[in-house]
Amino acid sequence: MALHITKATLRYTLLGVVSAVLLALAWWYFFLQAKVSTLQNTSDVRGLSESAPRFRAETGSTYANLVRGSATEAGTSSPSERVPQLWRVSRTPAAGMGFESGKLLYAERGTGYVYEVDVESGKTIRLTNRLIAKAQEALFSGRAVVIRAAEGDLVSTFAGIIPDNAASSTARSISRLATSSKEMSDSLPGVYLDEDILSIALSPSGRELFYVRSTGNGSEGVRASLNGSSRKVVFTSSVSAWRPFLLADGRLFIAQNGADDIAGFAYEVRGGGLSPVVRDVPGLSFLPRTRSDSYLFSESAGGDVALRASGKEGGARFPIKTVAEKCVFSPSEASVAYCAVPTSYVSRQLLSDRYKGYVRTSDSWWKVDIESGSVDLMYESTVTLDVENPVIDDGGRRIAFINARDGTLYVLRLIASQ
Amino acid sequence: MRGFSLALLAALLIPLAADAQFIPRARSSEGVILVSVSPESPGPDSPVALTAASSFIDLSRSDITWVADGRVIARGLGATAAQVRTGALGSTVNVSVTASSPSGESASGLARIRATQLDLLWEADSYVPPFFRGRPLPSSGSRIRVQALLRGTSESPQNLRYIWKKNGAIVPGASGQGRSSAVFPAPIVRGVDTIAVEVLTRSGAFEASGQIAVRSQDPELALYEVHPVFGLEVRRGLASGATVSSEEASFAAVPYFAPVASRMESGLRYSWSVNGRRVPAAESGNSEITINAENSSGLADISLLLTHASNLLLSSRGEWTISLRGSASAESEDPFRVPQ
Repeated sequence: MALHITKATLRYTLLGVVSAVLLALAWWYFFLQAKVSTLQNTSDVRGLSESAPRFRAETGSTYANLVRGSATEAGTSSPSERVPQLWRVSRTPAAGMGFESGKLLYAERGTGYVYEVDVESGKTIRLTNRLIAKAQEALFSGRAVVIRAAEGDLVSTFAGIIPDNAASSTARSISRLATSSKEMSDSLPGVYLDEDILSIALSPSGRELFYVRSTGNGSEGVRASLNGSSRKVVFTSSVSAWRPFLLADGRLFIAQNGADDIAGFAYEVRGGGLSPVVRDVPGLSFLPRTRSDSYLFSESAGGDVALRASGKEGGARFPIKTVAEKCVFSPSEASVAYCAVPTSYVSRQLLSDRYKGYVRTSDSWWKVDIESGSVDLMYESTVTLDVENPVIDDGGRRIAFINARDGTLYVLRLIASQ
Repeated sequence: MRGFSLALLAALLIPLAADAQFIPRARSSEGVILVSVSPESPGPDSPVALTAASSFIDLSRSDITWVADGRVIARGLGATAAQVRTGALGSTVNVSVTASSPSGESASGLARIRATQLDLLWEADSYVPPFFRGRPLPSSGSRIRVQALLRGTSESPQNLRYIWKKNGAIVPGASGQGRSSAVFPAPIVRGVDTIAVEVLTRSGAFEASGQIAVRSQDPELALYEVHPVFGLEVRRGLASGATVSSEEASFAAVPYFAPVASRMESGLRYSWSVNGRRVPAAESGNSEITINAENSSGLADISLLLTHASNLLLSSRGEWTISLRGSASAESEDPFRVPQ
């Protein structure tokens, strides 16, 4: 009897346990289903279940932003009016620019895409499809381009040549809305250079590079071909903050990065050594001229800025106050330079505060005769400009520069009498 | 007795001639007239002041004659000063001076003046962001690299002897033959150090000297917006009161001149606070922070304390009041934002 009761108890107990487990599983199943349903509803609300929208324009939104506000839309007919004397080329920041055969080439900051601008008509077309993310700096010489990007403190340097058919092939690949990595590469073939390049210059021929690279306890200057081959170390130094120059006549110059009130030096690199050009100038900024012994330099000390030219007695001092890096030499007139001159100074440490982005200047353009020392106001802008990286075309008719206030690209057409 | 006195005097004068501490530095200790040259390292085509001094003879009462490269440049009673001009870079002017006292005593001295140029290049190994156009400056904990470039000597830099000094004291570890570069710790806490170098030939002849004054400064915290496409917006340093045209934005702190190689260095400690509350740094790195101003006034009082895990001298603070304005409430300047 006791045994019979025990077996029955066991049976019912087992049955109860199994039922409880089944009930628990059933509850868990329906609980999860409810959660999934909630998540699905949430996703639907956010639109995650929708398929990705297709771009219906022939060009992306980046491109559209660029040409919006410029003189004309790409692909449309030229406007009846000429572009203004001071023309804002792009609405998005530019990494750098250069003139080539009457056209202006520039690289968009952030993407590295290269555009070609007809400075007469204002027509803009995109030449390349190669994405160089976080592009910060670009140098152009003819169809050669060097684009430098920064991800955090890591800098990459790309050197390439824009093919002659770049515009048409890029347009075709964009219109197909399917761009392979090969097509991207083909639109701007090139190579990535050494990772430890601190500063770089591109020869006007577009065939050579002169760059300063870190050696860990200083730096060395390297002259190389555009693709980084044929490397030759032309100098070594214990300091590394140099700005290199590679002129059309083949001469190499370096100048220490400027620091207010602190002596700086500029040298010509030749014969494996450094020949002094400018010595012991506080807050030095330096600009050499090709095929000439002339150069401009400026000093920043004691809250004052002075522009000087090569010559005796430390260089003639001009009655305008600006830094040499805001100037360009005229390619046609040997003694003429064009300089952007701040209308006022709000900082006693102009170099330092500008480089850190604390202050921005408001510049006018002046014509400077470095032989006579005379200066003439050439263009007073109604737009607030802080001129950075000016370049001049081969004919001396136009100056392109970046407005450091917002990074956008401008072109100033020089009037014939200027 | 007199001979002994002369010998004793010579023994005393020779170390004085070699030691710049007590008398103006002289080019040569030959004879008993010491000739001082100013500047010590004249450049090419530069005026040089010469001064004669002697403990042996009363120069003020003596007839003194100065000769430079065989040409008399000054002469007269008590003519203890003269001037000469250097020639081209690397050229040498040999100067001799003789004196005759009324009592019949005579003395002479020599100096060799070479026209040289000594450039002292320097910078710190402190942090500056990529593409920064300025020069890295020293702060406590960083190091200063100095390079001496000498021109006008026939010796190669490897054969020259460089004697480096810091605040007047010779630094043996940095000095020696061929040691044209040296590394020094930066002055501590806004201090100023004087770094000097003397360049000698292998035989010990003086060639040139120069010095620089280096001042340390506190690392400087700058705040920049991090744009999703353009990256760090170093052209626009955000001052207090700045406005950012977006409701959500990322910011990065750049510690200019901090004694680190990267702003993301693991030893750096970024302590962020927004409107008085501690906030965690963005996933992209401790030096960055993301702020969303949705459902708020849009004003962010940002403060940052930067320290270092092992460098106790590194401590910088920054405070900024930034206004974040959504695109609906303000005209957007960012072309990548779709205007509503």
